[in-house]
Amino acid sequence: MMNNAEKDELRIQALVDGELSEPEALTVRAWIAKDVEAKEVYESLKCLKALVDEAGELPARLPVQRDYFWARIQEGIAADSSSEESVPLAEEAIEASSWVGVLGRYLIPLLGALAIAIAVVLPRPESEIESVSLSMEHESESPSANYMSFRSESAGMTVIWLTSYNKDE
Amino acid sequence: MNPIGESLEDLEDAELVDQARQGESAAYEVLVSRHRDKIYARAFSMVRSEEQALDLSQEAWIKAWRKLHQFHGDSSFVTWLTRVTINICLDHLRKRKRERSESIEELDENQGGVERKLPLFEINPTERLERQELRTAIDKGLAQLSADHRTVLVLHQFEGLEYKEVAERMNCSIGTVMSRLFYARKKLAALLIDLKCERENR
Repeated sequence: MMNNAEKDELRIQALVDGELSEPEALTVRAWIAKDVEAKEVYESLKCLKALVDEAGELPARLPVQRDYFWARIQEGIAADSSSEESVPLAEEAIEASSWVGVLGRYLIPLLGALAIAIAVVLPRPESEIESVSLSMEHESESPSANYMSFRSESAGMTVIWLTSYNKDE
Repeated sequence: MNPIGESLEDLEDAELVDQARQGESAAYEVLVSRHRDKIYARAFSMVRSEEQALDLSQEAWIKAWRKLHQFHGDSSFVTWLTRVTINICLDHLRKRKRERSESIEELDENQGGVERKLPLFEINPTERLERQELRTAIDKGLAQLSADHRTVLVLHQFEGLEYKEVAERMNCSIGTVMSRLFYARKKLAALLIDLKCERENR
């Protein structure tokens, strides 16, 4: 927890750093003018700030050769751009797969439903209706395909007998 | 060499940036060559490790190449690049802090690793310290600070950022910035007073 003395020091520091508004700065200046300790803190901070500004930082030199450093940067740029190129490719793949997904999920079932609806709604050709009404009840047999069927129009059903087929026989 | 006989080295930063934006890597290489030490120095002042500063400054150059289209010339290229470097270093420091708790370091600072009060500090114009000596002492002081305290001092004192800007970049309150800055200065003042005493005793 910061005590009052510490808060005062921070206000003085803010004055030195030019961070106070004009009215605040006037208040702090008035206080410094009549408080010896505050004035000492102010002078110390002002002197230190000026000294550090004047001295600046110790210059540091890159500890590797220029060519080596540039080669590393080039390598990084190349790696960076190749990863950037792979992003659109990946996005395209996602986009394509999403189209396939949309087709599979919505369009195909929709088309199926549409086809059923058309089949139900559309009137069947006249010849087909006629042939159905004519074939009241009949049996048919196909020795080549090994099946026999029976159709009863009154019962509305068709029965098909399938017999097993053994090609060795 | 361009049609009017100028080599890339003769061009201003802004012209090199224009060429680099168009994908001319040779122009960017000249910018790297011109400012590499300054960018490395900023990274080093923040992380205090040669190896990390090298990696981070390299990262800054790579990132800057990618973001050259975002540089509109509102400031100089090197100022813009220094800001990019600072952001990369801050991210690195945050990550490092998450990985390694600095609680012991902070405890030491709060319990008086430094005098609680600011030491009286004045230097008469007649007894000016040598610039190199002063820089070395400041550098020694920076090395002894925690990353948080050092960063506040570097951003405010050397980069000229206001308290508010420092707070925004460091994701902390202005009060924290002020408090860290004051602590860092106390430590520096103590070191410089020691240096002055050493000189007087020679």
